Amino acid sequence: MNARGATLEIEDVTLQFGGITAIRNLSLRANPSELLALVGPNGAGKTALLNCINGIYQPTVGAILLDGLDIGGLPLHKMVEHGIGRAFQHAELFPHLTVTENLLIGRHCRFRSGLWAAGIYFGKARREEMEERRRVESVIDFFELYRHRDMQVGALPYGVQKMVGVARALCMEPKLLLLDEPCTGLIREERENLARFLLRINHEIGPTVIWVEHDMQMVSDLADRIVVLNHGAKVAEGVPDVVRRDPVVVEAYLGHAATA
Amino acid sequence: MAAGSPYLRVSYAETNRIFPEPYQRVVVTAALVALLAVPFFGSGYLLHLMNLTFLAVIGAVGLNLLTGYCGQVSLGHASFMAIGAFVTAILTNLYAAPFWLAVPASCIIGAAVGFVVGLPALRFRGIYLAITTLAMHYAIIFILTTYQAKFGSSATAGISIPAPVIGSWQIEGGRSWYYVLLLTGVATVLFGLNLSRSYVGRAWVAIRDRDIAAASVGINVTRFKLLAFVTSAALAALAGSLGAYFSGVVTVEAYTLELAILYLAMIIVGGMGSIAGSVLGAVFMTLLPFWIEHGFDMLPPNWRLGSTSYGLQEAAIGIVIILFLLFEPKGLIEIYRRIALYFERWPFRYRELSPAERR
Repeated sequence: MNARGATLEIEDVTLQFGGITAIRNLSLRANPSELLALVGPNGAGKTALLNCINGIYQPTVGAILLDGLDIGGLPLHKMVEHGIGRAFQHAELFPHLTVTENLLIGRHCRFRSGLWAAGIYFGKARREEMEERRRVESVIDFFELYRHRDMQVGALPYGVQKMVGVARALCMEPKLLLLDEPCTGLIREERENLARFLLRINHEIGPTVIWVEHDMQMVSDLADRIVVLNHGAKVAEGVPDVVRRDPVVVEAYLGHAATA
Repeated sequence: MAAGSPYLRVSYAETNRIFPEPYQRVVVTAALVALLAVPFFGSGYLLHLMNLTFLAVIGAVGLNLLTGYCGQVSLGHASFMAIGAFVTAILTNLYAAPFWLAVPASCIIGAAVGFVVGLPALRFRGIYLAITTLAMHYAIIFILTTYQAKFGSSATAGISIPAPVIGSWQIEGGRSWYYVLLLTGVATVLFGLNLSRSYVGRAWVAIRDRDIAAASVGINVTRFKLLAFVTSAALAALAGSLGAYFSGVVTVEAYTLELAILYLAMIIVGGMGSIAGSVLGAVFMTLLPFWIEHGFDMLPPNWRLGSTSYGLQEAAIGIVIILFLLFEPKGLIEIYRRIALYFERWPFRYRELSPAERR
């Protein structure tokens, strides 16, 4: 489970819905294996940007390059094959399937056997199922989800569901991992676990991570670089210490109290 | 747990078995042996009923893969069966096609029609999809009615089909058909169970639960929706083709909208998204009219409804659907699951919390 991090280049992207501009002339670059945090107030365009990278939205103007390849206009389901894994803000798991089955769906693209082989469950189809199960178990180990393995996801607490969401994204062996507010709604212990997992993902597996987050303290402690969005435009970018002292960021995001 | 315990699983192959529990394997083996033995002591009437049930099982598994697993509501199931039956009739009458050729050919044509009927599913969901499949049903039935009027022996008598021959074995009579249909039924159920534990089944459930999330985890939603339609239609056509051979005559009047609804009733009663549920539902709904008839036979003579009890049988389908949706929405299979859970936890019991305790 060792993924090479990809370079992501966002070049002058604008996203409009009718008269509303969600993202305005945004350019940014994520370096290989970097943990890049994306922060900004509600409605700043963070999730919209992830949706553009992920292919759920098509940018009105601009290009998105993954390792130099233009991925704009590719169908949604092709993104996993190009190495983009996404964990959603509300996990978006399949509630009637177990944790293991949800993670196996994360490995859907690796299955090569046809309908007949799957229906007869013989030879390659059977071997594939075992092989992918083995890989999924290593992700279950990584996220310490053992005791939830055979539970239906819909019956699990919210915090565990979000962890399964991140685990499912990691099952895709992404070169670029998109995490949409993985900590929101978690209790303190779960947040600390997630921080640990994020560092382990960064150090041991090594995909490029784009991490949307609200918790400025956590972001400053963990991220390599921070990009601050406000009203769909980039207002600051850089290493945490610099960004936190940027007066524009303080004004837009941290509020005046922080300057006092 | 001790080594060699039936509850200790040491490989993924063991966890992925269709029947993971030892008692399940014992019960299923015993049931299969019993089924194989039925023709030796069962009456002709019983064999006929069971043959009808096997045909229903094939169709119900097909519909459950599409509607229960993939979540695509289809009212076109009867027309897929009609396609299977008519392709068989045409191939045997016009081209003298043998059994082993006519049945697969019917499945393939059925699958092709399923593909076309499935195309609107890429745009529509839920009730809108149901309406488009309903329109397709009537279009197909119209074409077949026209065909039957033109080429059938008469407009209403339908098209007769000679008894099929495999090698030197002519499949005729309840007992021969029993083994053919039992074998096909078991094969279909195994096919469905295997699909449901493979990546195909998981993809279908993912599309049913959340289609955009399914696409973003790499599932080609278009492909798998169409695959569900194709598989389901092929199985319906298989049931239609075998049913045509079995009854020896094909009439378009047999493939009504009521039949499509009867199949939906089977999977609702049995359990949506469960292959075992499709089997239970198919058995229940096939035998229901016979139970009603027997029930009336037990009444004093002047209380019996005579031929009007037929209308009651139709109404019973609706009543049963309503009762199940109200009191057991997950179907008969949920009753089995509850019983299995009771014994798994025995001697402890799970008590539902009262609203006061829940707060």
